[in-house]
Amino acid sequence: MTATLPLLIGEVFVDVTLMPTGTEPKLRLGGVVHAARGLWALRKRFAVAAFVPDYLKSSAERYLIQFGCKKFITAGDITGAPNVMLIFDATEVDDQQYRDLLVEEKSIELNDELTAKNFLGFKDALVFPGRFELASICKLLPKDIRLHIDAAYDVSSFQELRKLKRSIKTIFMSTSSGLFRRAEYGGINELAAQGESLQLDTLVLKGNRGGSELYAYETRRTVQVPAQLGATVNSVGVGDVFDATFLAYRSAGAEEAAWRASYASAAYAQTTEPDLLRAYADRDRTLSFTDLQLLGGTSLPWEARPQHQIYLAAPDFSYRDTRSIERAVSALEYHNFKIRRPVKENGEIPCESSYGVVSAAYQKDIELMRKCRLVFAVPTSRDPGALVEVGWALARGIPVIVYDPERECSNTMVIAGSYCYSADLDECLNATFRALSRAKLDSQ
Amino acid sequence: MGSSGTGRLSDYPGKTNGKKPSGKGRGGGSGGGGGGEGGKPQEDRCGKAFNVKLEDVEQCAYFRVHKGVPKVGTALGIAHKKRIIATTAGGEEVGYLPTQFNYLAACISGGFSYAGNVVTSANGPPVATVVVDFAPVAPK
Repeated sequence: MTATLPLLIGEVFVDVTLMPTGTEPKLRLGGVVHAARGLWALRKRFAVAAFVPDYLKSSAERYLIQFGCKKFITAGDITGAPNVMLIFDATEVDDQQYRDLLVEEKSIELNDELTAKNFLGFKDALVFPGRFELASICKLLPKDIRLHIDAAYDVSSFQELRKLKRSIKTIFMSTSSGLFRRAEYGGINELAAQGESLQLDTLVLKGNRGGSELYAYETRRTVQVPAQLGATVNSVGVGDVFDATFLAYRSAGAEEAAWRASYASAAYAQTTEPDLLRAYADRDRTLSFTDLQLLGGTSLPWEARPQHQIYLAAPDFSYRDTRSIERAVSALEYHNFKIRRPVKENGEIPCESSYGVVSAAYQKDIELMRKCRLVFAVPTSRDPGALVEVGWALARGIPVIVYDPERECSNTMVIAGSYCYSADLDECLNATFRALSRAKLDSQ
Repeated sequence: MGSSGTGRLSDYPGKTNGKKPSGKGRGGGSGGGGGGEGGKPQEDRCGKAFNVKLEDVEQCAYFRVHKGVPKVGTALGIAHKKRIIATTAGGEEVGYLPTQFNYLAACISGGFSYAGNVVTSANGPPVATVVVDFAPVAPK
């Protein structure tokens, strides 16, 4: 009986991940399809109510059926735009920069042949809001259905969810989402207060590489669930797979569901090949909940990150090419780290300055470095100042991450001494999270 | 300037582009078709060789018993105890693998095993260091 299956509701996109010149772009179905792939990998069946452009409808339906969709409902038609999403950065070292083609021309109309009968008996619905009217589709759902809503995109406020007047069991929020960033929430507790009147069971705040946090309304308890960091192949849709996995394991308890979701979303980030994804999911399932907990992971909640100040060791001067430095700073700030930039804070010293002036600047920079938990170096052009700072930190046991995009400092001392040496910013970011998460554990 | 088309929805189950996963776990690729990132085949993470700097070496049994780290060239394996740990052939614990290697727990459970050799080791100061090259061992 299809009605007992979880129902996924959302738009179907074509995701186009743009690659460097000369490399074929990665093209696959996106939107609600990411969650569907996740459930297929877990060997779970499901139903989909999809908002989809007419040209894509039959191929989306065919595709989803291959992935275990037992009932496909056309929830609405999308006109005026192809629902093609251009993705410029598949690893989310920084803002992922999605571009929804012709989004201002896009129009979505609910399928006027749909009635409440189409949804009779469904018990759980996982909704990925989009440009469609959330209230209109929710009106067709059974009164007793449990809603689980990913509020990462296209939800303007909690007030909008209150107006639905439906039983919402889970809200998923992401620290990458516009709603989270616009509201400048301090963390899970502030968010939880916002959801108080919705009578939720659980609020899940997905914190990207720093893991996730669960707030259980019944116990008023917050639980941190670490991230499983690995080399990212494509992070688009990992949040959706997290949601779908959480729903699939919800009956085992929210905490186990979140741990399983963390593993499934890590696997999804590490391959775009469905068979490989399923092989990873099959193997992960052989581990018990206790196994997962004992293995640990990377945990650094959003609100805790600014407490771990990061010293930027780099030729951050106004007269130098600082594009790589700015890229690194932007990525770190995107993840809510507090970056201390000695050149910006203590000022640039003119070349012909006296020894006294130079010495004072040196002391200020060292003082600043002493306050920091980690040194992030971008030693472009083999900058001697940055390399001395790296050595100073290494001698004091401060973890050092060296982002060397041109591999100019590919030297034994730099490579072997650093916690991480890489030309890949994604790898450097992962290492930053791991080093600070580890420092947090050690200090506890 | 001419134009060309790009792709089709090729990432159906059974059309994996990547190398066939081995081991005893369920599932697996079946070769052929498209689907790799930017056309590149994706390799099963369990089947990849890797280099790793072990953690907490001084807290592990090997260092405590031998008052030092294993020599370069020492053969090590990997076990899943509470965490993922590198051990000697005699089962002595040498050091933990960082958490980015947690996926190995599922690989081991799925039938993979790993063998490697110490490539760098030092007793410190500041801290004892052991770096190992590991590669998967083909299932028997």
